[in-house]
Amino acid sequence: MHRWLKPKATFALLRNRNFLKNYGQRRATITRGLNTSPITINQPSFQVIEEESVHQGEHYVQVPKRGLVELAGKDTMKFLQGLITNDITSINTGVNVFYTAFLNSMGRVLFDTFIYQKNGVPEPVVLVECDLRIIPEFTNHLKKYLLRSKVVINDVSSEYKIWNIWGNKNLSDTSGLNSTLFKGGYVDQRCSGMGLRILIPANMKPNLTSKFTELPSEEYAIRRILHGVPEGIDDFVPEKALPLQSNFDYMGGIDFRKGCYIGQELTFRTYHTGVTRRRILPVQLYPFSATNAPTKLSVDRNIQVVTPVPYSDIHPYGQSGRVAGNIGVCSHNIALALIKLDKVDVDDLVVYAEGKKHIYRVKPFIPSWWPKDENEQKQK
Amino acid sequence: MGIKTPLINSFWLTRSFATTVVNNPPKDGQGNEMKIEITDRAVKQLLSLMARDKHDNEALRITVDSGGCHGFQYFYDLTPVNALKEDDVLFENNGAKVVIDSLSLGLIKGSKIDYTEELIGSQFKVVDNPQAATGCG
Repeated sequence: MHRWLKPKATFALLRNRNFLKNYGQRRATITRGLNTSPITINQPSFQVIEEESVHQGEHYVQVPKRGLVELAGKDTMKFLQGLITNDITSINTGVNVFYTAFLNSMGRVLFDTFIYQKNGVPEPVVLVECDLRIIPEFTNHLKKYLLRSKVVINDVSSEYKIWNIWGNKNLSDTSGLNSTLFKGGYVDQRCSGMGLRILIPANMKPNLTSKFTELPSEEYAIRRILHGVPEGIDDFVPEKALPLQSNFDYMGGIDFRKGCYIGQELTFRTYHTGVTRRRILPVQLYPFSATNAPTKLSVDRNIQVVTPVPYSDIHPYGQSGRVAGNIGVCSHNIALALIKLDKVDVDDLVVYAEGKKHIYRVKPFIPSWWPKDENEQKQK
Repeated sequence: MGIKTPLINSFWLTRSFATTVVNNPPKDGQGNEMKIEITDRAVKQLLSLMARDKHDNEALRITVDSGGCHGFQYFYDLTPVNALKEDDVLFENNGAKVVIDSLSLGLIKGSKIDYTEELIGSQFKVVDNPQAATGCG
């Protein structure tokens, strides 16, 4: 319990809350991603500038390693609202999908999820997308807080598949999707440029014109790394990762103006009074013998390096005790990593793979979609 | 030397048996009896509430629901003793009654029901909950 919240201090807290509320609104104007409004299917707003040649053009890819849990019943919305970092009442204002995290009471990330509204009448039905490898933990977490809430929880991972669609064409080319979706397609709000994220029955493929070509699903991870979008337990260490260090604020996954939810205390306090000194960002691994660090993040599919396992320590060379970060998802020569922001410009960061058999240099890159003010903070 | 219960022990013995289960003695998953303790302050306040409202047959209902920043929150209410539901457990200490449904009882067993008087207001409160890791308010 924080000293603010001792009963005798509650008066002060209540009066401060209004102040913080206004402060939150001021901050919201410079923080991106609080707006989770959906696109209507005819907007060309999923135009993407891809720097990677394989990803240029119109493509779709099946999102791997994601599972789905269905929640149905009249208490669904109220039940979820107490558990998630985002505001579920946005569903009533026309948003059909949003990004959010589930935290534990210590404010650590447990699950990164998308919540899809399937049906609103007569009783709400939602699908919650979560890392497939921790679906049992996820349903247990929900059941722990269920008590007498009228909510039925079902694992429906095998019934649906999640697809990611992007391209430079007008979205009217994707109008064929309408028949297979609950309520159209959704722009992935986490960063501008991820494209559409859609959910369709497992036996179907996205109904798209021939301009769109399918890529192998490993391209999803590569594209995610290039864009700097963390996802799943490789990037968010369950019960360890902090929501702000995990970019949930940048990716529009936290509503700082909603009421109480599990883990709110630490998140809210860190947002308003603390400084986030580490964040998840893309890194490029390059040979230890190289003389020049790469200047631009790019994937080289010819490189089949022995990749470091998730959570491996990144540290300045020769100073293995001074951990500067931890690696997350890794593909070929690129990876996501949680890195101390003051170490971003340090040239001697290294990571080991397979014990100490392989060593790579690590070059971090700040994603272009990050808010500018935070970049300035980093410079100081 | 005769066996004599130390004073401190007898104090705790009397305290832990001061609250009795009137109906439905519940067992938890391990077969242990689920109990709570009503403190003297809570007894005094409950009895004075009864006297004030001229109801001698009311009980304090405590319910646990999910919500709040730590996952669970307590709700307090007054309820007529003759309107108990099937899974309700009634506790009594010196005439003061507390009703807890068995689902909630699983989450607050071993706690004390207290009445706290503080500058910001007085209230019934579940204290020393062995199941609670952290809490606020």
